[in-house]
Amino acid sequence: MTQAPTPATRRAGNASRRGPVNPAGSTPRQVLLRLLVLLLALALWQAAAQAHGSVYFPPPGRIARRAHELWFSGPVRRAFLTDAAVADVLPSLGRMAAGFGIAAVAGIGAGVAVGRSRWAYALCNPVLQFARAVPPPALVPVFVVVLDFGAPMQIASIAFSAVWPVLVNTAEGVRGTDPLRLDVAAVLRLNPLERLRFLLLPSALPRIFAGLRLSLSLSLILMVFSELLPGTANGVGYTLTDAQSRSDLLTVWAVLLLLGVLGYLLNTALLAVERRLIGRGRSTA
Amino acid sequence: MALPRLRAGIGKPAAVLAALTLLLAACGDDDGDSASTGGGQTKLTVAALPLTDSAALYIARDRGLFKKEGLDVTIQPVQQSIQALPALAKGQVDVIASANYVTFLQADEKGTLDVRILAEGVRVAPHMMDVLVAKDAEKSGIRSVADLAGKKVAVNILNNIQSLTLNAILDAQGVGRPVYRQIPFPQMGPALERNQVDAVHAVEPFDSAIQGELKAKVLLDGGSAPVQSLPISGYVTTQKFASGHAKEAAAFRRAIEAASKIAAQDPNAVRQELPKYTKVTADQAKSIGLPAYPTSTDVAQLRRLTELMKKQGLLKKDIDPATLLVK
Amino acid sequence: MKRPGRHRELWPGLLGVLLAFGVCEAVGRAGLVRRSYLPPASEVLARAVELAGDGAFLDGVGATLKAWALGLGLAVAIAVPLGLLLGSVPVVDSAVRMIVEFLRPLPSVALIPLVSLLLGTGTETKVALITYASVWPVLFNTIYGLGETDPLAKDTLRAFGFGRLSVLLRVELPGTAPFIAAGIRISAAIALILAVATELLAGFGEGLGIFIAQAGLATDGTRDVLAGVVWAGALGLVINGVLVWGERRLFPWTPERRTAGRGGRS
Repeated sequence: MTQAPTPATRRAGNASRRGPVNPAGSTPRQVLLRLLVLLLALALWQAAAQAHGSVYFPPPGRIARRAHELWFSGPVRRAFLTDAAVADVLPSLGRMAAGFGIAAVAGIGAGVAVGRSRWAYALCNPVLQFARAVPPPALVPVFVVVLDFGAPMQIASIAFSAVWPVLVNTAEGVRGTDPLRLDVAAVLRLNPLERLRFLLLPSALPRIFAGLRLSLSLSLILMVFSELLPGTANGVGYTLTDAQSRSDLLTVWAVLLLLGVLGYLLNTALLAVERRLIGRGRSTA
Repeated sequence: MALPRLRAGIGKPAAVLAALTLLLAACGDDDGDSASTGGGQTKLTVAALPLTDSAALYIARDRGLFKKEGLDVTIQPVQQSIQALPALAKGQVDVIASANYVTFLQADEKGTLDVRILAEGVRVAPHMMDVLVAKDAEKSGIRSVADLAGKKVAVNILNNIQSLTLNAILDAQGVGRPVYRQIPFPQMGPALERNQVDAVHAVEPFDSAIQGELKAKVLLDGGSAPVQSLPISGYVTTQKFASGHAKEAAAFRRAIEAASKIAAQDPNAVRQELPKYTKVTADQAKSIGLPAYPTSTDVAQLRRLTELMKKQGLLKKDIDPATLLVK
Repeated sequence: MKRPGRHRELWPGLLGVLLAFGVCEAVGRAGLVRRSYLPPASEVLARAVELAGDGAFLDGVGATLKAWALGLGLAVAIAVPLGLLLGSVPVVDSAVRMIVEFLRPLPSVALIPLVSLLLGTGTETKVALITYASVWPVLFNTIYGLGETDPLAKDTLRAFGFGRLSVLLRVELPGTAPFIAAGIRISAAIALILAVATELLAGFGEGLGIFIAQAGLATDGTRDVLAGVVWAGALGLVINGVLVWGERRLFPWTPERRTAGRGGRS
């Protein structure tokens, strides 16, 4: 008896039933549909905001203009980025990338180590569950004492909270390796490194990527949290809190818009990487 | 598939429409009104910070001054006055005590709140806040105020009263501006100790606490000229409350002014009150520097503040504080 | 069969906790940092235990848990039907995808001032923000789980003439349930973090986060802050344990499916 039908084959089997719809969703018709829905939603929002005229809900047109004015009205040679964009958005993204990178590496590494051994998993699990429940803003006193203000503290706080989804998912993925394959590896006398590279990682990869995607969206949120830390001098989250304390709601909305766009772009990028590494078989769009 | 084609495109826009309707309904809601009269005493809810700024409020409550004016005041603690702004806007609280003027004047200018100042709260007094440096600051080159130019100074909130007053003092002395970093008061001690910043602008009781623990030196009195007696925070409400409950507003102001008089004449009353509503211990309360509690609202002083704010770019338009006072 | 397994997991877990505590204690006592700035773990733990006897504190914890439960419940009530809809009708799913991907990364912390201007500062704001953040894992796990259901069972029912909705309720929903449960477990953790973090940042009302925020205002408040953090972590641990136990009881037949669900799309 061959393996149970993978989602890929099942999807393929369903495809005829569901019509020629690509779940990854990039046929021209689908793209058009998405854009239409998006535009409709935006139009509704604009109409509602203008009708209500509240200072708390500026119309999307004004928000977009403010965002343009803040970040994208710079010189052409710098890809239209303003000084503010270079001074705030780029460092924020850089710190987020560093935090996410550390979280990814540490999470995958620790996850593999913990997942390999049932005993190690049982040992670490309660501590992990405890640590991941700690709300980031509450740890400020600890960070202030242990780390230097600015980038080190921010990157550390992002990494500290972003590591858990990767770690837990990697551990689960490694634990779920088909025992049949482990036996095959033993028969082939693969050494631990080969086993890792050819067996554990590839079979855990879908779940690792699920964890990475969770962690990436979490990193974006944590980026904002981290810029609440003392000693922050620049950044997207910093712009947000500064605008909040000055009651500059238009800028607050503009930052939210930017965060939404960034999140969307980053997620799409990670999906593309995932598809490259895993192939279309296991499309998780 | 049996599903009619019609459903396909309608799903999400319908959801969006529903969500928007909900939102609009929510903000179209009449702002609640927490003030209520019952049994001769009007109930008022006041949000207050656990700082020396709110001392007059607590004195008024504990000495029965509110009861005398027919007010039943409930005090809700809040960490930063801006956190109480949404509650004030929605009518969940009637007054915010120790409301940071800079924050609320900016909110008024931006239109998020129609602010009215009921009564003054505190004004700058000598050594109620100081610029502190580490005890070995000479080694890192900070010997006097002039050395602050370009150095890192910690303040509690950026672009607010502390940077406003410090900039004014330094401008008057012809010293360049420092670079500000936002650090909450409790973390200023660790930050200074680890040389993350060159100086901290700390308010009491953190001022004395840091001096005690780190043997930090006072580089500059935060209350020096030209900001002496500058108003810092006060009792703020909305135009809606002030016009809808004019009698209660006047009664509240009378009680506060009476309490401020007690505070101004007898600092020990304040020192005894502090441990009851702040985290300041009785020992600390005996020796910390207290702000000035004005016994009446002086438009001229408030005008000094708005002019200073306009000069340093914290306000874009000219605001005449007289228009914001509750008559 | 299960009981020895569970006991086997309990002792190493306890050992892990003790080891972690030991490390923190050693670091705390090593004198690297001033006691008042970072108290050693034993002091923090003692204070945390002391707080268990404080009525006002427990009231606050209750308020936080109430907001957590409401937020999580609302999130599930929204996400499961929406997920079933999106998972069954691919056209809607792909149409909505862009909007969903835009909304998801918005940090609730950024939305606090706007939402509280709408809903006031109280439980409603907290619940709204918790719901907003907790909807996504359940939603995505539901969609993913729908894709994993056995087509054979669906076809069989369809062949017998059951309508689309019946097939949904009788086959797909039970089949998706383990994934939904895994999604709820992830969301529960997020909801708790958000409940405490929102209280911390909004600073108004009562709750565990408020306790931590107020403790943070004292000149030597780090001990209380960390004690509050210990409580938050312990709550997360307990909630996770309860949910895992619940999942095992309800869906004992799908250990592998469960892990697939846990790592499922989001």
